[in-house]
Amino acid sequence: MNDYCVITTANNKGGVGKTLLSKTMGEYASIILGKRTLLIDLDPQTNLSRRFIDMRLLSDGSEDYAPPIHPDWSSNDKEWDGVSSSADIWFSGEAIPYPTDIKGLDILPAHAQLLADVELVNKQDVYLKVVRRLRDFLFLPDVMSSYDLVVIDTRPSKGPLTTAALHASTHIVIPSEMEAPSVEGLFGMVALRNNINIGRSRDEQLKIIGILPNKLQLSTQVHREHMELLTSDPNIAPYILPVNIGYRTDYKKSMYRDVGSIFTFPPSNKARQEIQEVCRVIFDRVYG
Amino acid sequence: MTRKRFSVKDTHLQESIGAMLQEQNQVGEGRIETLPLQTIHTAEENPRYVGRITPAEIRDHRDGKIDLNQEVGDRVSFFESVQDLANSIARRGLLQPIIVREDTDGFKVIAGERRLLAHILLNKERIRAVVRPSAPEMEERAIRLIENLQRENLSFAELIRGIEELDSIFQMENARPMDSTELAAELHKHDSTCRRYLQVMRGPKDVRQAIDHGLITGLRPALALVDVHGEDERALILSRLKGEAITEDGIKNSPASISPIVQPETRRGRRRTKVNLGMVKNTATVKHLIALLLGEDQMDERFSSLDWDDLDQVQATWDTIIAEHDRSTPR
Repeated sequence: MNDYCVITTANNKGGVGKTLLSKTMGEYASIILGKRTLLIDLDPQTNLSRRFIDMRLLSDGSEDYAPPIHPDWSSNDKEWDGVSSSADIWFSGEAIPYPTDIKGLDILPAHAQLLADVELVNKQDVYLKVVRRLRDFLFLPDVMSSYDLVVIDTRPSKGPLTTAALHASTHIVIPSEMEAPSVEGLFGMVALRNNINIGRSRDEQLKIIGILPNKLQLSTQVHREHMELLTSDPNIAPYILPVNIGYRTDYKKSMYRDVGSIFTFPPSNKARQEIQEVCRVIFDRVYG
Repeated sequence: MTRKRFSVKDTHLQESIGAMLQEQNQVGEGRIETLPLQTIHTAEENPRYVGRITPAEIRDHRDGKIDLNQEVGDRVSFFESVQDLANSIARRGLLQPIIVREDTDGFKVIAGERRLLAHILLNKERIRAVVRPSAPEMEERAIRLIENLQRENLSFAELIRGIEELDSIFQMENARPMDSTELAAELHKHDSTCRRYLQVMRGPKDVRQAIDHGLITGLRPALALVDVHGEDERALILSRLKGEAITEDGIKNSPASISPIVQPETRRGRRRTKVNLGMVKNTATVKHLIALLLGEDQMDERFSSLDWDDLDQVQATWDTIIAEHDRSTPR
């Protein structure tokens, strides 16, 4: 059996570093580990997509982003309008990943409006189909033979999209700030994962890679207190990763489209060293 | 480079989820059909567009027989809005089917008159529509449903689903949700019981799912779970109780219900640093507490001059004593 993995970055609270982590894991896997990697952006805010491709601002006054014309599209192609997005997994059933500037790294970008439509699903029977669809897609033999790894970035919610991502995943990693809202979100994520595992066999259980403390400043009392709170909770403590992401401006810098991967920063760069170690620990747990 | 193109079209999921997504906003039931335009007529009593533009006029407009310069302002803007909608439909397709009701000579539009006119403008032959049953048929369904609901051997999930269906029929007829008295009248059950059914039926989605999946099989545990605030807490309770029959006590005694950590309401804002010892009206209580703290023998010695009926004096004394005690007690 090959080691095809689907990792979802999730926390139902926002601004905890999901996109930074998804982006860096994708880059680490393709650049450092040489894995053929597919990033999937399921957040209607399209943040991850905009890091890798030149997204198009819709001209309908909505300020929403949509993917650009695919580089492989030609006007002779009458069966395709030249645009593909992660939402197509649900709508047309056919999705065509975009190449990025990094070798071995592709992305299925988000389409703000279409993803927002998927997120609205609430009717029971439709909801179940939506939730299962991503798994059907990611476990297509074609997808599994084209990629070694899939990394899914989610939006801060527990709606159909995040649930679908967890259903499709082999692993989940949960970034969290050491502050009350994101810490409360952890319990929700652990509970959601437990619910998903009810329906899975013993060897297919969704594994929690860990909880990654982000923007951690142990000099701040509230961060220390939350760390203590978490390390003393039997439901949470085993999942806390022995590494963390600090508060560094270089992370913000690495999120600019034209700056490129943090793994092109000099090896002496503190941010690069820190997050490279984070990725090493994460992938050790995945493949270890 | 060969493009990577992945398709789930031919998997076991036969129906297009996309189409369902577009239809799922429809309230109530009906079958989706693609109807010939000429079988659909607009409702005379439609309050929104009475006397404005008829399908015949749109056809004339399409065929260039209407001079917009001769029209008054709001008729012109109506023509324009139909044109805009037609452009959008031509580009993106019809996102939401119109809603019609069967009647004696075809179908009558309930919602989506402008979308229908836009289709006429685009010279289309057919339109997707949700076809609602005729009014007498709805009434029959309500009667059948009520008879079913009065049976004794319904499961709790069936009961709640039935009440929901009844409510949706009621809403179609009355344009508002059913209340407990109305439900009680239909089911011949007690008003307060019906109020609880409705509370559960309209409660959080996750509770409804737990009922549908048969995890909760009675009104009392369902209500207990509805009472737990916060989706995260409810999810944690359900996951911890998995495999057990869920009871009211099980929910109330679940660690997630009582563990302070999963009740964010109690942890909002700053951490608590003080304990409030409460308020009493009877100064004898204060006297008694001070005696317990200091010992009876201290009382006459220290408080011989204190007027125990003067609330201000007693308050000041208590403040001093409790502060002294707090300082001198090791943590």
